[in-house]
Amino acid sequence: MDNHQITSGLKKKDQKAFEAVIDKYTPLVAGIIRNVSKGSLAREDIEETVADVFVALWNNTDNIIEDKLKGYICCIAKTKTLNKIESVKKHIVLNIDDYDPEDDFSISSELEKRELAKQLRDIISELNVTDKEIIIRYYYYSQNIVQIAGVMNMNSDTVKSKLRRTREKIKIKLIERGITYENNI
Amino acid sequence: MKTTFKDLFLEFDDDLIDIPENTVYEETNIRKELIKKNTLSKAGCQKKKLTFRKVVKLTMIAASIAVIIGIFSTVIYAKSDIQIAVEEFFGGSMNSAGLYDGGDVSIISGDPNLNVEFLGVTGDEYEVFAVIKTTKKDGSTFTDEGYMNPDTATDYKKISDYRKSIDGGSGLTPDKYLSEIATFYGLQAVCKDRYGNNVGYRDNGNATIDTRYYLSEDRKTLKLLMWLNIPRTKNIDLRDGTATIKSSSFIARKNIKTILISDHIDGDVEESFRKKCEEMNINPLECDRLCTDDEVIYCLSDGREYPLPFEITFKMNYRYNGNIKKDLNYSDAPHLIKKDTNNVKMTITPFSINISGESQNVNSNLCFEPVRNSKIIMKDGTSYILEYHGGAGCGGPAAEKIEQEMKFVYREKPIRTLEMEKTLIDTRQIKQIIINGDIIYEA
Repeated sequence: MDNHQITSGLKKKDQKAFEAVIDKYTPLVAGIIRNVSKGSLAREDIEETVADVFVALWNNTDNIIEDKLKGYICCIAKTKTLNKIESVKKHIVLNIDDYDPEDDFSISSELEKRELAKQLRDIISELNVTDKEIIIRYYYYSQNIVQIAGVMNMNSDTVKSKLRRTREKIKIKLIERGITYENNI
Repeated sequence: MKTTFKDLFLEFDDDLIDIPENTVYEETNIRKELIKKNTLSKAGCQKKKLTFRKVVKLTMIAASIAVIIGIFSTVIYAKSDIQIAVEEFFGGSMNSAGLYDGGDVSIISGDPNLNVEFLGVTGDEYEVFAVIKTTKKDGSTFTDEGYMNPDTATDYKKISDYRKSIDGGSGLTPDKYLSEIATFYGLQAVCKDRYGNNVGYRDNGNATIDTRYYLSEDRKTLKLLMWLNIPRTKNIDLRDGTATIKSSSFIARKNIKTILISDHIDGDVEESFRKKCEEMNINPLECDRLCTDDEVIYCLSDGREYPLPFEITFKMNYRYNGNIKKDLNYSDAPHLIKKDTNNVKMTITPFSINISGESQNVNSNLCFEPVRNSKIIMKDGTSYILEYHGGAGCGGPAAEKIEQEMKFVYREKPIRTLEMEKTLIDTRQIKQIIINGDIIYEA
């Protein structure tokens, strides 16, 4: 089944589509949970969280948008992982290289957030392939610098500096598009 | 509203995030078929529900649990004035300010060869602690030779180091979670209200239950401290209801290979442990961490399951007039409560402080800030650490709201062992409670 068939099947509460989405995305969901939890969850916790992700998907099939199925699943996976970490009282051990104070900033409203996300999508689409891949891996799939360097055959310092430069580039482009905000990136 | 840069990436189209999946995560050793079956079960697509419990080698030393549970026999009744029996578990600090001291209590042993002796019970509106002692009528041991420490040898746990906060006071909350209470798979708990309705908050209607197993050195006596948690956020009234705890078995472990021994836990020790595991080609997630007052032992162990069938029921006639309830809002505790959190309720009991809240901002992680420097000061000047002792959050983008609850117990000093013993306080003697620098209660 492709994503189109899965999405329409899920919306009709078709169990075969549900099984197909589980088969297709279980490794990805488990990987994201592992990335987000930085290895702080035991295998059983990861398995339980994977199941929770798909159950949440099944219970919210009305919210699925066809070309955003994977993104929606990833979004649920991240949220469920954070909830799981909290529920089992684990701490994420963050590598100092991965701590980035610029990750945090304030946006005052949902509208602003949606607008900003839309602008960000456009800007990232325009990035060169390498920069785009690094930033998606870092921010979307929660891979750390070392992991990204490994799969992209770069050294960690290169990944870090590319990440910093790309973020700077995004910031400039956002300002060019008239988006300004306090404590920004 | 606090939004992170990362949050913005969650709404991207699939084509934008299209990177070969096998390069965005490391292969995880998960049981895909088990996940699938459990997912279908949880979603209501399949009847049989499986579990994700850690696989242990089972050595059933008697008949199967199913058979044993079918032959419940001895029934023991006890009533009132039994709080003193559990004082040893509370460091002698037991008081009677509204505590539940046991109404009608019945114990049913499921094994004709098993003596189950009731030692005591105490509790309040939200939690019940019960202690029993078991022995074998024929004087035999509970476990095979070398299989001990059923209470401390739990699955691998990350137990963060304790660091006092920077002002160095004695009554301060450690800034990282410490205590890990072993949830034992062989216990179930069910609460019923006065009308006989199940009032648990798990999917199956059960309440949560934790336990500590104290096996004597000769392995012939097993004491259990059982701790039943009653849901706070659902306005459940258990007065004149019942709480039933059912036990089926327990797991004891034997240390097979010691990997590392340390007198403390910190990042360096954790790193050394991981390096040792790499050298020995051992998966750290398969290891156990045992804590004593003197040392921390990282090891590989073997777990065996032994039947321990009994059922204990309490009539809930607690008085709980020692509890203090207060509603809070952001302005009361801006360093604890997130701005968009509402319906914040705090209950102070002789056992613990419980805070719950909810938020309609489903994109927010949780309702409360991480808790660091906290203490409770009594009228005589004594102060206790407020130690984070569990909590839960639920919600997320797919939910209508986020709910979170946190629980803190009172400690005279930080400890790192897996102890469940607690300090009780007389709530009438509280002067002030401070969390994250905010005074959240003052007498």
